[in-house]
Amino acid sequence: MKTIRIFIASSSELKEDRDQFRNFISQQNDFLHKKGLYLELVQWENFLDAISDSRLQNEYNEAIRNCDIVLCLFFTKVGKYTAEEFDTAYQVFKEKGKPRIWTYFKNAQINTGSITDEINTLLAFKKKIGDLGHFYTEYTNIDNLINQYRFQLDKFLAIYEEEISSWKDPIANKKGGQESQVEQVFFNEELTKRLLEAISKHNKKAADFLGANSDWAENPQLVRTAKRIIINGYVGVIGVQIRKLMSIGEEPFSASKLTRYIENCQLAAKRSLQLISYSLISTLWDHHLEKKPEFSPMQKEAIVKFFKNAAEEDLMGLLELMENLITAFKDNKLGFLISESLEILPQLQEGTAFYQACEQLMELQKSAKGKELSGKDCLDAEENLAVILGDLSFLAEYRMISINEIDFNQQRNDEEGLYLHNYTFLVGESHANNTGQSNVRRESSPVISHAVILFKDNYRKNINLDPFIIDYNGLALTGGSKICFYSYCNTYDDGNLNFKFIEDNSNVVIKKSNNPKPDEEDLNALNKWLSKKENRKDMNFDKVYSLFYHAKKTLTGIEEETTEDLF
Amino acid sequence: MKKYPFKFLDSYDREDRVVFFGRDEEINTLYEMVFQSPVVLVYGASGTGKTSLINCGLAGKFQPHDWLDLMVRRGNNINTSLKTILKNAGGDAEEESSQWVDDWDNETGKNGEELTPTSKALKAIYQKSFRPIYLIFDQFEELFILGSKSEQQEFLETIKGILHSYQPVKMIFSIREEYLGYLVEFEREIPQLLQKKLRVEPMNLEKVKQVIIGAATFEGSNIGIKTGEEYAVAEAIFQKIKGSKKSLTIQLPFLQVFLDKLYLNISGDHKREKPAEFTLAKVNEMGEIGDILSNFLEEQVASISSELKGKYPKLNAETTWKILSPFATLEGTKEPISKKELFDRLPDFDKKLVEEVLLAFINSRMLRYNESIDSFEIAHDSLAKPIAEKRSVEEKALLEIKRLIKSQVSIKEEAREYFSEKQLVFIEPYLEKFKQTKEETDWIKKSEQYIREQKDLAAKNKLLEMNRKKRERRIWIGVIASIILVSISFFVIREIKNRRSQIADLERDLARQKDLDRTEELLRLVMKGRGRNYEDVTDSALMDILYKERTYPLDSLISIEASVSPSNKGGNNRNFTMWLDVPSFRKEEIKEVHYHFCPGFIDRLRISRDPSSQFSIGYLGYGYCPVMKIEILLNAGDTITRNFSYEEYFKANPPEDS
Repeated sequence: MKTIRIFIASSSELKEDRDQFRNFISQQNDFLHKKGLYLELVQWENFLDAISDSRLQNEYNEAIRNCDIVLCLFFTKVGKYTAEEFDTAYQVFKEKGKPRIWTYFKNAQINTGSITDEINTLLAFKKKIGDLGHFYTEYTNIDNLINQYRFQLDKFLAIYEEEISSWKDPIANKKGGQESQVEQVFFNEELTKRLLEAISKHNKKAADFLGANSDWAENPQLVRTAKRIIINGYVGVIGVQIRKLMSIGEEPFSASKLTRYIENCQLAAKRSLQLISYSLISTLWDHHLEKKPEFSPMQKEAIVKFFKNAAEEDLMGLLELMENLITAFKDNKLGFLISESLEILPQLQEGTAFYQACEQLMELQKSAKGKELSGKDCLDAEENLAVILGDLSFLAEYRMISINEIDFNQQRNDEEGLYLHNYTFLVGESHANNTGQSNVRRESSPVISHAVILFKDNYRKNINLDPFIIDYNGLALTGGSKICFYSYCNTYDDGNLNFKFIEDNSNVVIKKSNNPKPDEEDLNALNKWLSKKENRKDMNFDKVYSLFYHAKKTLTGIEEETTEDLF
Repeated sequence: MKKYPFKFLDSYDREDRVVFFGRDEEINTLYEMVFQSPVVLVYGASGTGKTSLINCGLAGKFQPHDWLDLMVRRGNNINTSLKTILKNAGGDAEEESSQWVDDWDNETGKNGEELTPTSKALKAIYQKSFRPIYLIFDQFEELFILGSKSEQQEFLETIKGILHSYQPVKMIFSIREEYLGYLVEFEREIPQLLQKKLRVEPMNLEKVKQVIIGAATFEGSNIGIKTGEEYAVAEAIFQKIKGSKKSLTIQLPFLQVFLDKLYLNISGDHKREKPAEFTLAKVNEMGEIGDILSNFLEEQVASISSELKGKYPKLNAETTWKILSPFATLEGTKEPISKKELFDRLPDFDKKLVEEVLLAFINSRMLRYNESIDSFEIAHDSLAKPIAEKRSVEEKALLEIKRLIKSQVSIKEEAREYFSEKQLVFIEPYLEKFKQTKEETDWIKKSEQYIREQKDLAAKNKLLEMNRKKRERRIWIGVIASIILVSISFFVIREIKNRRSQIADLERDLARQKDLDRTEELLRLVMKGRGRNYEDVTDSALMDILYKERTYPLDSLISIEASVSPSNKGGNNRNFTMWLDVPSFRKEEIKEVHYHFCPGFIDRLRISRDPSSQFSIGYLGYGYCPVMKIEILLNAGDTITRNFSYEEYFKANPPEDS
C-alpha cells in the first residue's frame, strides 16, 4: 500500500470545510485501496497538538517535507501559522519539486460587519503568492471545492501511478523519490541582470528602462518586463532561445528542467556564433563576386570544412570558423555590416573569458548526458552564456526579417510602379506574430524575395542569409515563418542539406526535387509550370540547394560532380 | 507495475503520449500548421478523437517550456468561461495594472491600440511563465448549439482583440464537422479561421491496427496479443465493431469500449491490473455486439439501479434514465450542467438519491466533472444519443417546452414576442413539472394577460360593430317605417308576413335551446357513468375536464385500473382484470397494450387490441405479479410505459373474501 500524505493548512474559520474535505478523502480511500493507494491526512489541529511547545521551523519543514500534497484553504484572513506553512511548503517545493501545492480561496458571502483588519492579511497574502507566480483558485462552497479537487486529484494520481510504475522519464523518476540536498537556485537572475546592462548600450528601450528603474530587480513585475525587453531586444533568432531559458527558469524543479536549461544555454550560444559566422560567409561570397579574396591555408581549410562538414559544428568548431573568417576579412580589408564582430577577434583566442565560456558550456552539455545535474551546473551555464551574449550584445542593434513575396503594382497613367515587399519581422516571441498576415513595405525598387535578411537601421543595406538561414514556410508558400539554420551537409552521401528548425531544434532536410523546370525558351510550358504552387515551391527549395553548392564552389573552388544548376 | 493502455471514454492528454497510437500523420500536420497561422481549425465527426489529437498528440510534440495550453469549454457562456480560465491561470489583468505602474511595458497591441482586457490577461499569464499560450476551444460547436447570438458576437470581438494584441498566443478551435457551416459568419471577420484546417478522419482498418498493436506492444503494457495473430486480432476487432455496416471506418469510443470489454472478459480484473492476452478466439467469443454504446449504457444503468436499490427502494432503471436525461439535448448532443441545474431539472427527485446516482456514474466513468466550467457532463458525445432516445413522450414534450420558453425569454424584452394562445395551451399542463425563472413565469403571465386583453378587445370591437349595425338598422327601419306610413295600405299584408316569420324564428331559437339543454343533460348522464370525478361538478368544470381530455398529451391522461373478484365457480382463485382508464374519444390513438407478466406466468406477454373493452385483459388465478410493466403503443409510433402493482392495489382495496 502506497501512502500519499496530504497536509491541509487553513484558518480556524474553515473548520467545517476541512471536516467535509476529510469525509471526501475517506470516500476516496474507499476505492483507492483497490489500487493499492492510501491518502493520509495530516491536519492542522493534529499537527499543532503534536508540536505545541516546541514549535520549530524544522518540525514544520520535516512534516511538510514528508508530504506529497499541501492544500491551503483561505477565507477572510490568513493566520500567521497558515502563511508560514505555505512558505515552508513553497520553499521545499522549489528545492525538491514536491509537495504539490494547491491554494484555494473561498469566495462566499460574508457579513460586512464581521470584516476586521485581518482582511489585510488575506490581501497581502494574495499579492505575495501572485508575485511568486503561484496560481490559486477560488471556490464557492465545499461542494465546489470537492468537485474541483476531485479533478485535480485524479490528475495527480494518474501521474503518481505513472511515476511509481516507472515506465516514463527515468531521469525524473530517479529524482522524484529520493531525498537530495539541492541548494536554492534562482534561475535567470544573473542572466537578466547582465544582459539588460549589456544591451542597454545598444538598445534605447533597455537604456531608458534601466535609467528610470535602478531598483527594477526588487520589483517582480519590472523583472518580467526586463526579461521581455531582453527577449525582444536581441536580434530575433537569439531572442527565441532566450525566451526558452526564461521559461524553463520559471518551471518547478525537475531533473528535466536542469537538462533542458543547460541544453538551451548551449543552443543560445551556438545560434549566436552561427548567426555571425553565416553572415560572414554570406558577405564573403558577395565580395568574392566582385574581387576574389586571398585566403591563408588555415582560412581555406576552415571554409572547406564548413561546406563539407557531415555533422553539425559544435561551439568550439564554430569559434574556430568565426576566428578564421574574421581574420580573412581583416587580411583582405573587406567591409562587413556587423562591423563590431570584427573587433571581437582578440576575445576568440584561447584562454580568454569568451573562449573559456564556450569551452565550459560544451563541457556542461556533455556532462548533462551522463551525470546527475545540480542547480549549480545551471548557474554555471547561465554565467557562461552571460559572458558570451554580453560580448555579442551589439547584436541587439540588428534586426532580421524574412522577405516573402514582392508585389509590383503599377496602374494606368502611373509613371512609376510600386514594389510591395511582404515580409515577416523575426522577433524573440515568434508566436506574437499573431495577425497571421505578413507586413507590407512600399518601396520604389525590389529586393531579393524568399530570403532571410539582417540589417541595422537601413533595410536596404543588409546581409542576405540565404541559403544558410532560411524561412522554410516562406519557401513552401504556406504562410507563417519557420526559421531554420544550416546544420550540415550529407557530403559523402546524397548531398542533401540539413537544417535545424530553431523552435525545436528538429532536423529539416532540403534535397533537390525531381521536378525540373521547363526550358526558359519554351515560354508556354514555363508559364504553365509556374502557375502551379507546388512547382513554385519545388523551385524555391531547389534554389536553396543550388545556392549552397554555388557558394561552396565560389568560396572553395570545389565543384560537385553530381550537381547541375537547374536555374 | 504494468500499465493498462486504454482510456475508455476519456480523452488522451500529454501524459498519455506513449500510449497514443494511429495518429502520427495528423499530429505532424497539425504541428506544422501551428507555425503557419495564429489560428488553426480541427474538425471531424464525433468520436474521431479531435480532443486527444490536440491534448495528447500536439501537446506531446512540444517541450514543456514551449507549450502552455488553456482549454476553454463553453460552460454556461463561452465569454465568462474564457475569463475564468484566464483568471485561474494567473491573468488577473485588473489586479496587475493597479498594482504596478510600469511605463516601460506598453499596454498596446500591434497598431498602437490599447489592449483589450482579455489580451491584458493573456499578457499577464505569458509573463508569469514565458511559455507561448495555446488557447484551445474544444467542442466549439457548443457555442452554436447552446449559445445565443449576443454571446457569439461578444466572443468574436474577443478573438479579434487577441489577434491584434501582439502577445504570444495561438488559438486552436475544435468543432464537429456538421457544425462547420456555422463558422461562415466568424470567417467573414476572421479570415484566418478557415485557412489552416485539419480534418480528423474516422479510424480506418489500418489505423485501428496501429492502435491495437501499438497498445499491445509498447513496453510496460499489461495487454498483449498472441504472437502471430496480431493483424488477425486487430482486423477481427475492427469487423466486430463495424458489424454489417458498409462503412470503411469505425468510431473511437466504440473501439475503446469494446477493447475494455474484451479485456474484462479475458482478465476478469476490474482493477485493470492483471495482464491479458488478446487472441482471435477470445475476440470471436465476444459474439455479435450490436450497438455497443447503447448496450453498455443499458448495462450501466441497470447495474447502478440495482446497486442503489437497497438504499433507495423506489429507484429503478426508469428513474435512473430520468436522472441521466438532462445531460443530453433534445437533438442528442451532450449538455454540460451544474449540480444545481440538475436538481432544478429534477424537482420531484430526492436530492440525495440524485447525488448518489451522479457519483455512481462518475465512478463508472460515464459522467465526468469538468472543472473549468464547474459542470458535469457525459464522458462522450456518442453516449448522448442513446440517452435522448430513452426519453418518454412526456419528457420530450417537457424539453421542447423548456426550450420554447427559454428561447423566447432569452431575447431582449423590447424585441420579445408574447407566447401565442396555441403555445400557452401546449405549455400549460407542464408548468408544474419544472421550475421556471422569475422572468419566465412573468413572461408567461404577461402573455396570458395579453391574450385576455386581445380577446376582450376583440369582443369589445364586436359589440361596437353590432351596435353600429343596430343603429344603421334602426335608421333603415325608420326610413322604411315612414315609407310604410305613407303607403301603409299597400304594405300591410307584407308587414303581417314579416311578423309571422319573426315569430317562426323565435320558435326555432327556442327549440334549439331546448335541444342544447337536452344535450348537456345527456352529456352529464354519460359522464356520470364514468366515475366520481365527473359527478357533482359544475357545467363549466365539466367542460374544462372535457377540454383537457381532448387536448392534453395522452401520456398525462392514461392510468391503469384493475379489479379483483372471486371466481364464479367458487374456490380460492379469483378473477383479475386490468384495463386502461382513458377518455373514450382518445381510444383510437392507441394501437395496442402490452401487459408484461412476471416469471411464473405461462404467457409472460399478453396483448390487448380491443378498444371496446378499454384494452382490458383478465385472468383467473391464485396469484399476481408484485409489479407489472404495461406498455401502451400509440398509432403515432410512441410508447407510453406504466407500472402497475397489485400489491399497491390490495393495500388500497383489501380483498373482501380474505
